[in-house]
Amino acid sequence: MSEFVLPSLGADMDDGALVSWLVGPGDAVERGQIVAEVETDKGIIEVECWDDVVVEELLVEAGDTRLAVGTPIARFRSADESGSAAQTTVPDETPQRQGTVEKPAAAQRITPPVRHLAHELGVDVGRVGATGPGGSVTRLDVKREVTATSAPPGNGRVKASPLARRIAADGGLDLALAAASRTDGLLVAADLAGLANAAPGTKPRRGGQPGVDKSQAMRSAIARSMERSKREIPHYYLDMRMDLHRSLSWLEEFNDERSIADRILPAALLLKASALALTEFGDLNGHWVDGVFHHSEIVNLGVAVSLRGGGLVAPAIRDAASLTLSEMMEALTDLVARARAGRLRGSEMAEQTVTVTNLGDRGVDRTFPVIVPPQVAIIGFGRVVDSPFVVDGELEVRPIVHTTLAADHRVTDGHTGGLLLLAIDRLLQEPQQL
Amino acid sequence: MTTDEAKATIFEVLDGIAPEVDAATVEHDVELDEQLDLDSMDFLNWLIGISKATGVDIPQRDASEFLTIDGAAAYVVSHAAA
Repeated sequence: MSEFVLPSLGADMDDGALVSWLVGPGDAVERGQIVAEVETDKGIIEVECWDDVVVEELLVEAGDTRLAVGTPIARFRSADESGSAAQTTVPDETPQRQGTVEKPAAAQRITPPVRHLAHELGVDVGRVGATGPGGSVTRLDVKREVTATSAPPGNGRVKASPLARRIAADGGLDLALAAASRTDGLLVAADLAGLANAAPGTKPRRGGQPGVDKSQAMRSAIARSMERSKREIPHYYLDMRMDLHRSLSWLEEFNDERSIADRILPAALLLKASALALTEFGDLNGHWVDGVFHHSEIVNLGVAVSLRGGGLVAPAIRDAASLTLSEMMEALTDLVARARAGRLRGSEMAEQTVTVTNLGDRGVDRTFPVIVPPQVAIIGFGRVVDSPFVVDGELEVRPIVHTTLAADHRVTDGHTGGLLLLAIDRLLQEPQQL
Repeated sequence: MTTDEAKATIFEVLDGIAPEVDAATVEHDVELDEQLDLDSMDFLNWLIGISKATGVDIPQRDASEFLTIDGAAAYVVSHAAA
């Protein structure tokens, strides 16, 4: 038996609200499965469980109450401990009522607790879409069905993009019946596909909690973290011009042969070069905690992603140095999309060992980034600009990027930081090795 | 595919990427870069979305045809299967 506590989802997180449970008593949970959604100052974060367990009891109900990090929220037992309610597949024991027309329940994998919940809420399990492991019906599936059937009509009360609103108005669609693909609940045009033909109550509706000013909460979180950084961390700053001619030429050729969906952006190259270089300079990769530096063996690269409508998050690409360029691009695309839609996972928000900011193609020439505590370094890329550059004694026009490093002087000196920048430059001159 | 149909699709894809944009305020003949806050990732996702929605393949060398809404629509119309 073990207690599952509210994890820290970021170094600056003190508390969070458990907004929904995705599992319930009796449910089997696989390692890495998302078990709950927690609202933090950085948005709604999906909390994973890192063991194979069975849920014994939920100790906290979903709601708006702020819980301190470390609060026990559930009791689990390990998957091999026996227990009375440990069945995950169910004999088809539910008696079919005579005369009712139901989809055969045998076709659906559903645990007794979920079936019980469905029964309590008056949900016909045959109509519920199954999204759980192995096609099983989860608690969330049941709850979605309830929300869908009880969603209030009236397009004015629903959050939607201007385009989605216009399409709904033109087509006489009820926005309340649409399912938002984003967790902030904002409906976009694509969410309306098929709505015209849908019968009321057939679409699940997902959305964030209305009424909470999330951008203000995020602003406060950034403020706390950056105040602490500037108060505690003696930054030093380094700047180096890097010639991207070889990298970009190589990338152009690489992309030419590929379909658009497999295209790799220069940002992936910059991230890979940074991650590889950081494996050589361990003193720039890790955490400063209570006066001691803890080096991290693997590079969990925090990637600063600006959010539409303001705010910033820097979730981690885990073990970034081990990824191929294609994997890096895939990870980056996925991370940016989920960051902007508010669907980040707990592990991504808590395990960054170093950060990279400003992925370079727009905006300013160079950045002077601020370290995210308890990390000890942050790398910044400015935009790539065609500039005069001396190559072998000749003046040439080359695509140049300013790469900057801000690092914690308590842990390293400028010499180490300079070597890191040199290593990144060296790697970018051999893109085929990345 | 007509130009209007192409534009409807193009705006729908854009809506998924930049939902704060009011399509009615976007100038069709002005570069998107000057009007909207799109980074290279957004732009790439926009092209991928248009390609998926229309079945039109968009090789890298043609990405520069997509700087404006008019340009994007013209490309899609001329490359769409009849």
